[in-house]
Amino acid sequence: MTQISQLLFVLLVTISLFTTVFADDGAPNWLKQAAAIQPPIYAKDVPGVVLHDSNDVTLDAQGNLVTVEHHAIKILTREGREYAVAQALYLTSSSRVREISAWVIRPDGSVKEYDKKSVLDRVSDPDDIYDEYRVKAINATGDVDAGFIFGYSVITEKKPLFYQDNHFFQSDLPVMQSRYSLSVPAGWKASSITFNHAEIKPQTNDTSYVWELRNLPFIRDEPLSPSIRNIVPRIAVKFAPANGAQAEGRSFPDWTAVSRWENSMSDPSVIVDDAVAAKARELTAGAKTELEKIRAVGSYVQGLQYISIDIGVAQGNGYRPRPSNLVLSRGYGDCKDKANLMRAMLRVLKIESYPVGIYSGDPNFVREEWVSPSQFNHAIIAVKVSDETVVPTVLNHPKLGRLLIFDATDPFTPVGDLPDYLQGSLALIGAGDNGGLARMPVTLPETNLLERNVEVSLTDDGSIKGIIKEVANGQESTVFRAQRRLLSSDDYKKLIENWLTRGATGAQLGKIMPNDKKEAARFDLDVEFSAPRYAQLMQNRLLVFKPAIVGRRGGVFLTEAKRDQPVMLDSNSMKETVTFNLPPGFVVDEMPDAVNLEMPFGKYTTKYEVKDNKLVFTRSLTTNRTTVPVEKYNSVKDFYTKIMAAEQAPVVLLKK
Amino acid sequence: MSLNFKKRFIALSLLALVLVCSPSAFAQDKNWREISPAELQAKTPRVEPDADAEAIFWEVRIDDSADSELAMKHYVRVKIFTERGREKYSKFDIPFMRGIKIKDIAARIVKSDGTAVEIGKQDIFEREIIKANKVKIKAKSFAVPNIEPGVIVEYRYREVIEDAGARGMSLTFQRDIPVQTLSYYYKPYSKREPNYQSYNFTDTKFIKDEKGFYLAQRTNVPSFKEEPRMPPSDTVRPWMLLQGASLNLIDASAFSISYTIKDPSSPTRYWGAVSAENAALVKFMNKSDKEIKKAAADITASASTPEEKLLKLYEFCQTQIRNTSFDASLTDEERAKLPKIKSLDEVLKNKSGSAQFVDMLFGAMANSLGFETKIAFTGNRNKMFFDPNMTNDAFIHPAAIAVKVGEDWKFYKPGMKFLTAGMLVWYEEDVWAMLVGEKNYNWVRTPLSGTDKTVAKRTGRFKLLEDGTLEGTVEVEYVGQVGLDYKMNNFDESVTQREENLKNEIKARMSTAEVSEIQIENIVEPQKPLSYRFKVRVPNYAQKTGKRLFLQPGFFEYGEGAMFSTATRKYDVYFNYPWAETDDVEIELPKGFSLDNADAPGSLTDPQKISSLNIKIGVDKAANVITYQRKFHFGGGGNLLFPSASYQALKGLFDAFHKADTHTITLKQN
Repeated sequence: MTQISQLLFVLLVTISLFTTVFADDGAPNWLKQAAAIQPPIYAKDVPGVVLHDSNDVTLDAQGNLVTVEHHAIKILTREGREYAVAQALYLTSSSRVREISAWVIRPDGSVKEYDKKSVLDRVSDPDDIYDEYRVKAINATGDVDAGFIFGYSVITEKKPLFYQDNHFFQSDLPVMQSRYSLSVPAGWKASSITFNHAEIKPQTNDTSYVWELRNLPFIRDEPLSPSIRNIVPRIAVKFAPANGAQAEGRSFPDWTAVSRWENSMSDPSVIVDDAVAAKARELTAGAKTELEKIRAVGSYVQGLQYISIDIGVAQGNGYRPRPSNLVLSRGYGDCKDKANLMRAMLRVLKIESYPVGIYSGDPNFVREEWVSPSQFNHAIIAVKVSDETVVPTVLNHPKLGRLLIFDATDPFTPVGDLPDYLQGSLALIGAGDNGGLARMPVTLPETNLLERNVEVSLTDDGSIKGIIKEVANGQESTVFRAQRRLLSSDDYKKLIENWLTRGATGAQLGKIMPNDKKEAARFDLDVEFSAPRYAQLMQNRLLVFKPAIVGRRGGVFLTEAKRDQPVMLDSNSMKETVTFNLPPGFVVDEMPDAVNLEMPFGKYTTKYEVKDNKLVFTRSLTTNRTTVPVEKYNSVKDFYTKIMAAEQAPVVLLKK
Repeated sequence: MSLNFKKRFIALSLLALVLVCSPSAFAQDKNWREISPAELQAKTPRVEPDADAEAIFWEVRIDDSADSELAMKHYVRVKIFTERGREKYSKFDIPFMRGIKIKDIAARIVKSDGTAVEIGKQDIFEREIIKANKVKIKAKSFAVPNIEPGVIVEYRYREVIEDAGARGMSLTFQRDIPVQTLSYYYKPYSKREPNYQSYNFTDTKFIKDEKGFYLAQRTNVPSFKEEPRMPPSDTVRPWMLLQGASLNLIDASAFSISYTIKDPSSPTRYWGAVSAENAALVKFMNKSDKEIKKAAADITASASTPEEKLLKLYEFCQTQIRNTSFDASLTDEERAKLPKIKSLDEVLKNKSGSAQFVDMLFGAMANSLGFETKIAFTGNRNKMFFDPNMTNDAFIHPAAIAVKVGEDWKFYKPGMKFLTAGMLVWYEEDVWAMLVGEKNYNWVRTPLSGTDKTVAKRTGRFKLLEDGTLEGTVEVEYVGQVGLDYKMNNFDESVTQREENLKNEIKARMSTAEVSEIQIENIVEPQKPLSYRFKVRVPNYAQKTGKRLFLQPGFFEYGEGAMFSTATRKYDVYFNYPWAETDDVEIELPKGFSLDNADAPGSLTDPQKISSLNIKIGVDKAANVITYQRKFHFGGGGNLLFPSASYQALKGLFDAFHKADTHTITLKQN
């Protein structure tokens, strides 16, 4: 947490305690009606239920979008208190919160009303240097408990950037009734697309549209599940004059139009001046190939500090990068700034490239049927490459040819690789009439291989001494790289010690030799170690030990008996060979059976071999990028349970 | 003394906020100071070889000479060595609020070739972080341009705080990055000499400098890095507290004025004044009241000894008075509306009061029975190791009621809802306590509860299946500090959340464990030990290899990591309280399997009897049941603090405990 974030947290807690002003006035009718709803009995861990949620949106004659939001929730458990918060996001330059009010209805029926003195007005993202987004909030968490009803009403007004809107019908809580309505001026039409639910058809009345859902279930937080945005029902709504007038740049008929719009936002900021040109040439002075040039520029841009300054968002600046020459001179920027600077430098090198809009956080979020730039929250770059450039993240675009996809922001993923949370996502390539939506590449499990070789000498008292040699590739290497870069030397050493001692009590670290080969998307780590009495000596004749000395990194733990959501697995693989030099006078008495598990989503094997007084243990795990449906949850759970069992299995040596 | 000392004191909290939240330093004039070629060319840190960034100097100039304001100038020069250092210094936020002005911000980077890039005024943003009612917090924020490893970053700014003084300000002499020269310049109010106390270091003093300033300076200061199980940072990190005598009005009438002078240079005078300030509270507690006296007499009617009487009172106050501080059903609003208590008989009459009033009601009742009663103001071991030479009353707090029984002082804290009689909360045990009476005070050391008072008693009855699955029932009982910890962490949670917490605790050790039928009892019962029971099934608990099964009978230590993992240690090792564990496990073996070896880890202890571990493994051949009994204690003789020099021995001991706890036995298929 940054200093400002910490400060904000403290202030939010303390200020909310002292600014609550209330009067026992009556609640508004809509809230009284909501409070009268009798929800069903939910499982005991459900923290609350939304009794009523409505967003009534009106596009007025001046082009303002006015939203009246009513929300009522019944708190069901103590933990549900955290939901008693009203929040309204606004942009200082183009929107405002006309009104925000909240009420608490106590179990005895008495009402507490929060007036404007209770409203906190804070920055939306405390870590940004400057951000026009702000939040008005009323925090009633300290005033409610199980059985209380919390309701709020918010009226916001904004100038929409697009003639589009998005509505989620729930968060994780169950919902009794959720409504979204839209009123447009005469002569306008609206239409919608439904996601994560059967089509929700609006009730229409001339220029009014109402979409409504009832009795939505609780969404439990489950590991490896899709993001909640991709689970809950939502609609995307577009509206425009029936004759199509006034809609240019605010409404898009197809993805090609979005592509053109993207270029109109980005291209003017690709400014090549002397400084940009000189820097591009300096960076690539020693580069011989196209790939080397792209790497040199990409690595430099990734290395610039990530700083976000959001001004003029309402005018499209959330999509418009700052001029590339300015970003170069400042030495910092956000994702679109970095991608744009890279485009400018590549232009100097006569390498064509395109801006790419993408959603960071869930590769399945972006939908082709919803033609809107508002689906994207991140900017990367597509570089047109020749056949000589062969890396896993090149895609063959039907119109643009071979495109190397690169995230100029993620400092841990080099050119030739792509963060796993972006892989497979639909993204917008801004290439004018040739651009549009494209599926990003997914790297193979072998590309993300973690290979480990362990050579160990075992003594007759059970002590071991040896070296672990790890080679992490692709996205696996980014984890190693991030640990090395983000942790201080001391903390990095502690991390390795913890990992080692978790498997071998009392293990002593020798040398740690990390070697980051970022350009090759590879990270080598050698660790020398020893552990006294690792194997347990029994009856002075048996030595018992687990051949899997250290854990796999990034273990999957699926332990709940039931599950509601599918399981999302990533594309990666791991191979380990552990060679034990056995102590003289001991022979292998018992070894675990070899394991061979093969499922559509993954494969796991173990093998034990004895040769020349050496025990060689190998294990390998491969998982494919898969979404396993919830009906097949047990097969995934069993797969990982069997893996855990196999890795706990010991070997027994017998003294001759 | 300043004429506006009250305002100064109020504004001090704002000052503290800024000091906490902003990177600090100072400048003497508007020009940047010269950077030496050695500083520009430095490739490696001087103070700590692996540092990500190192401050070449870090200066704060505190000017408390004016009546109306406190001014501070910050000037910091940092050399960046790594990407992490760059990240840390890439942007700055200087928060401030009403009454504080941030002026003359300047920042620049200087590359190793001497070229500099300075931030422009247009690159400094003033942000309104939050506003609510009449509170408004702002920040001046800026990003540092072109920062990269190898550059020097330097910044300076001036901070002016209206109606504030330096008294009470703490000066940190160790930062989170290493510092070559760390300096505080201080110009006290009214040309006085600096009045301060130093903590955890003695080698630095304020010495007279130019223009009325005094300078305290340390060189080659390593960074402060926290370690697990270390003493509180205020007991480790070097820091100074700026002080000054203060006049405090404690009573005023038409005919007299009572006041105290708190002079921190004399512990006797200082604590005497603190005692006098708090005597009114003791008078309030001990004020004679018929109802309280009658109730106390009734409650203790069946008790014969002083200890029995006090225990009766303790139980009454803890169980019969609604302690509003621990009433989780109260909302903030309801708590705010609780009636103000004007006298202790109201607490008795309404049978309701906050923790402090419950304590004082106990004191009043004991006093009415003829006991000498005082209020014990103790240090807090969780924050720092206090001793009475540290003349700052912020280091002590009203912790308990002290009652004289015979020649000894006994401590009672019934206001701590779940605290066992005869104990204090761990951080108030084994600390200095100022016992404040109506007319005098004295210092005593509070007792430390031994390993017999804090015990985890754990029982497991299991059946092992042929495939290695373990299933059975578990019962756990916590008393003393461990029980108090558990209750405090869970009492205000819902039943569902308590169960979830317990499940998570078990799953952290055994990820495949299936836990059911959880019953947690006595969480809000003051006098009864916390207990819980559950059914558990752990697939693959034992590992099968050919004809053998390998079983760890120590169920309660299964999956626990070793206490210490790092090979080296900088700071002392500190445990909060002594404790003991008693485990009793029975495991019915699968049919066709019997014990192959009867090895047991045996006993482990240290020469000073600070700790011991005794494990006995037996077998009932007729029933085919393995019995496992484990007894462990740590902190014997009150030994809780271990110098870093003894770390290897301590780690070795705990590694040996861990080995013994995770001992595996072999079962053989017949």
